[in-house]
Amino acid sequence: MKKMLMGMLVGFMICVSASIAYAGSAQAAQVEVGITGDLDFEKEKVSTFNDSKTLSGTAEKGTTINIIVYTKSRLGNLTEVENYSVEVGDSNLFSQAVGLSVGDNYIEFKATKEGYDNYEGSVTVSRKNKAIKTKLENSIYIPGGSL
Amino acid sequence: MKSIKFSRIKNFVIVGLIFAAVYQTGTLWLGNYTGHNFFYSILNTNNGLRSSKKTSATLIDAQKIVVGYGNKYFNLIYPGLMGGKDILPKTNGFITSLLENGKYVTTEETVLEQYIGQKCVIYDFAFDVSATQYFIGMGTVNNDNIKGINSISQIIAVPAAGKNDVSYLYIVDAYTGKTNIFEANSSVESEKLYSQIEELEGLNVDSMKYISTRQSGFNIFKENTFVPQWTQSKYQYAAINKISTLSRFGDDIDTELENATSGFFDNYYTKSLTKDSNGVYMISDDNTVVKYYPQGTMEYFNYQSSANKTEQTLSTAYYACKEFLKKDGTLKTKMFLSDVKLNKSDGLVFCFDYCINDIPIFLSEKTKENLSIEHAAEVVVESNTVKKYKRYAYDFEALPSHDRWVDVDFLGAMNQAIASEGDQGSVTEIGDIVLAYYVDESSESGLKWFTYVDGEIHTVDTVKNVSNQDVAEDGK
Repeated sequence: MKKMLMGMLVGFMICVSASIAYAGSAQAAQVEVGITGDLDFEKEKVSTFNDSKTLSGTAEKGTTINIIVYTKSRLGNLTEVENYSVEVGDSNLFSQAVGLSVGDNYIEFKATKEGYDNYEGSVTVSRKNKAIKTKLENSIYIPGGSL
Repeated sequence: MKSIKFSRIKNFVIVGLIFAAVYQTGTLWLGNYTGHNFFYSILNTNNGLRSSKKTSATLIDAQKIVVGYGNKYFNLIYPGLMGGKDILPKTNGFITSLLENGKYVTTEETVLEQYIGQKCVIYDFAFDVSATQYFIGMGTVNNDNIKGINSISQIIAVPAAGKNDVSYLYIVDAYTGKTNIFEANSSVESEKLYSQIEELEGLNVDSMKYISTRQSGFNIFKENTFVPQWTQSKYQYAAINKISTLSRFGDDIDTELENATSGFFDNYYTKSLTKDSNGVYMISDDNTVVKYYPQGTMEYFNYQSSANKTEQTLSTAYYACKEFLKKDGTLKTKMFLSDVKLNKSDGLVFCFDYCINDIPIFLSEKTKENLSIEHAAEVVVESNTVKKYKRYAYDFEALPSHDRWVDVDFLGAMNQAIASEGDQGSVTEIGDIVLAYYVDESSESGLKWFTYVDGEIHTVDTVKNVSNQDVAEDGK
């Protein structure tokens, strides 16, 4: 009898106690960034003859944009060559021209804002020598032949 | 009988000559007939009609020429009155050739980012130019292709890349907002223009590069504009020094000033030079007065009445204006056409600003107010004759060392301008943003950002941690 009463009491107390669980988001929202010009992160690798590329787009005021440019050696070693930091202001726009060395340039892009998850992207920009462009424009290509 | 008849004929001839003498004297007094004789009118009759002075027309200059390299980078050139290096005649030749030999394709909603995606030359006008007047100046007004165009805000010339490619000409109609597209096969003119663009790209490797706000997706700008962008943390440049015209003349100012202003006068010997107690130099004859003020302005007045009023159009008035400015012997710094106004009482007013190394020079609001001048030079043309001319009489030269820098980019300037408007949400449009030299009372001038936000001009410093300057109520 005593055991039954104790069991009923415990069961009643469990039913009365409030749930402390809630269905919240497992992660914070990601900072909103829209890339609008010249360079984006849809492709892993792009080529260019230009000595610079412009990263531009939209983001909320107070977002910090960090861009790091690495040169990539043939062995795949990365060496940091440029580091840019831009604070997005009232215009909600950002734009930064990044210098490129001849060869592979690995560009890391990160947008951070307090209370939000970072937005990150990267792309490799392969800068070709302009002399090759001139040669391509002035040459007649025969399949199987060489320039 | 014979003698009576002869006597009568003689009397009639004498009376006729008296009337002719009175008429000739009267017209000589009131009109400008230098070099005319009694038979001038008869000798210059054309098809039975009396011909007056032939009125010439000229091309309306673009405020700036933008050269695009097809890689989303551009260079800006302020062509000024002295021409825009080789790019200007080659682009004009290309436009004329394409309109004469090409064909009209279509008129469509403007997709500017597409048109400027290739190697191109863009004429950006300071105001909406009447298409008819522009093509009169170019000499292609009778071309059927252009009859449907009202007014022009931009012209984009895209030469063919190769012999088998096609050249395009895009004329943006300011009235409809649409673009008229013309095309033609590759030609000698398109090859020359394409080569010139490539040459400029090579020459301007180290020059300031510009990007298009439209191509970058910056829709906050009312219209596309070109803004400078650099890869380094700061852009280094040389300040400019201003030199007063009067101070250039040294000790023998009277002789130097007379010689420099001789172009304004028909007769060198009839003019006089005086200096009043306020230090104002005045050179004048019966019809013309030129004044140089110690505060730094010069003025020209032409009081001669236009006895033969000729019909004035934009292109004929601009021709008169340009020909007149060639006579200003004290004008040494390049000027570009900034605006044109129609003044009901005076006529057409052409407004110019100075530029140096393709960077414009703008006067501070205080300078403008003190000197009652809105631009560096204003030329009033009536009946194809310059009636008034006022100019900020200083020359500018770049200092030898690049010891100044810009570390606030165009977005930083724009953010400051928007923030100074107060309520961020109230800003509806950015008209333009220009990096230009800012001229005030100081002898040396550096660069500032001129941002046009909701009709107001904000000047923003180009160095971080320096407070904003004046806000003007100018409209744009």
